[in-house]
Amino acid sequence: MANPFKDIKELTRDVETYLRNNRSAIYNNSKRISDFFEMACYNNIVRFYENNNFEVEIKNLQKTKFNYKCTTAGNPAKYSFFEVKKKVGSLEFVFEIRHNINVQSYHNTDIFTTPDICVIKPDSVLESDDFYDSKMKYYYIENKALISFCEVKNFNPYPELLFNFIGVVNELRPHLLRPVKNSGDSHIATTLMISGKSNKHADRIITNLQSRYHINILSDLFNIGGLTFGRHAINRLKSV
Amino acid sequence: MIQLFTENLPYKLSEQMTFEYNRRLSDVNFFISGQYNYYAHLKNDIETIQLLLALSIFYKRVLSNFDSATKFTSRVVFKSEAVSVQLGTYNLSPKEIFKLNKTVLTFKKLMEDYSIPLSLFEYLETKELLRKIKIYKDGLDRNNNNG
Repeated sequence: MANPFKDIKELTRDVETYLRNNRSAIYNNSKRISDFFEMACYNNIVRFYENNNFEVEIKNLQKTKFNYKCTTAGNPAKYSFFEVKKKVGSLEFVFEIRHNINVQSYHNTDIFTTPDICVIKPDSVLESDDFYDSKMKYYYIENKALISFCEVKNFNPYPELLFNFIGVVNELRPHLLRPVKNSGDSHIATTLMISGKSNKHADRIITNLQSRYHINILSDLFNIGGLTFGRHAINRLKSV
Repeated sequence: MIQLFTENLPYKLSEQMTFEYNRRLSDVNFFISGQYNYYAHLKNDIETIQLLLALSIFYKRVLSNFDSATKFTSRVVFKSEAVSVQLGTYNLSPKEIFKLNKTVLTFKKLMEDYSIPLSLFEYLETKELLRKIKIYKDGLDRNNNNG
């Protein structure tokens, strides 16, 4: 068996050969790393619900394709999503986990922002004819239809990124910025999901913001995404 | 060492990988500089450590995302009648998934050939990686002495 400490030259040569042989697959797909990372996060949120005893079902396939909403534009009716449901006694609770849905501000009905992943009440997408100065329709949900949301950032965490997230929370879920005495346990609390690893200062900011507000800030998800959303690990996440 | 992996990657991704590599390499150099007896003897293996560090960054920043894409698509295909995932104009079809899987599996096979466990690449702090490398190297040395 080859030993990387003794056969470093052979290993380097074999790595070069591997990279050369797989160059086109690596290069072409690397352009979609951010989409893939969002997919991983989307998948992890669905896992959170599965591990929290929700039934998961895929809805709105377009012919035989899962149409993934990559942009903020477009009619949500043309895109696929996950539906999660849970029975509590005789009641059944149903929610949708959607991607890139425009959400009305908590403070003002005329302004909107688009989190990457939203957990929303079912059949809550509305359309507006007067948002644009054209015939184009604008699709959105009312703030009261929003249960929770996640922002996905394929960056290394830095102070402005972290503080900007608080601005979005303030716009959509301001009550999470006050001490929460009793919170539910069904839904993941509003979460910032970051691919990169935080440095010491960013770590301090993350700890501080999480202690002040009822939010999750998860960094280094390239590394520990699977671990964070495992069946037992999800108990460490804040929920609503 | 990281240039080996980044030369054909898009600029943004390449920059992030280089940033992480340089930051962690400076941590590695600090730990093996002689201030910590526990790691000091790894100084002779700096070339291998650099390659393992670069491999770990490539694995988690590139290949694990390919893996995520295949997992997501597998979930969708397994749980519904869908045959692929449409990402804008790009169709993540079974053929594309096969290619992505092949890229990941060939890498895993290469690591296996050199008895490099993928668990080596699961770390948060650079110190953790270095500790794993030390334990791994000691294990290889022991096996060689016994064999």
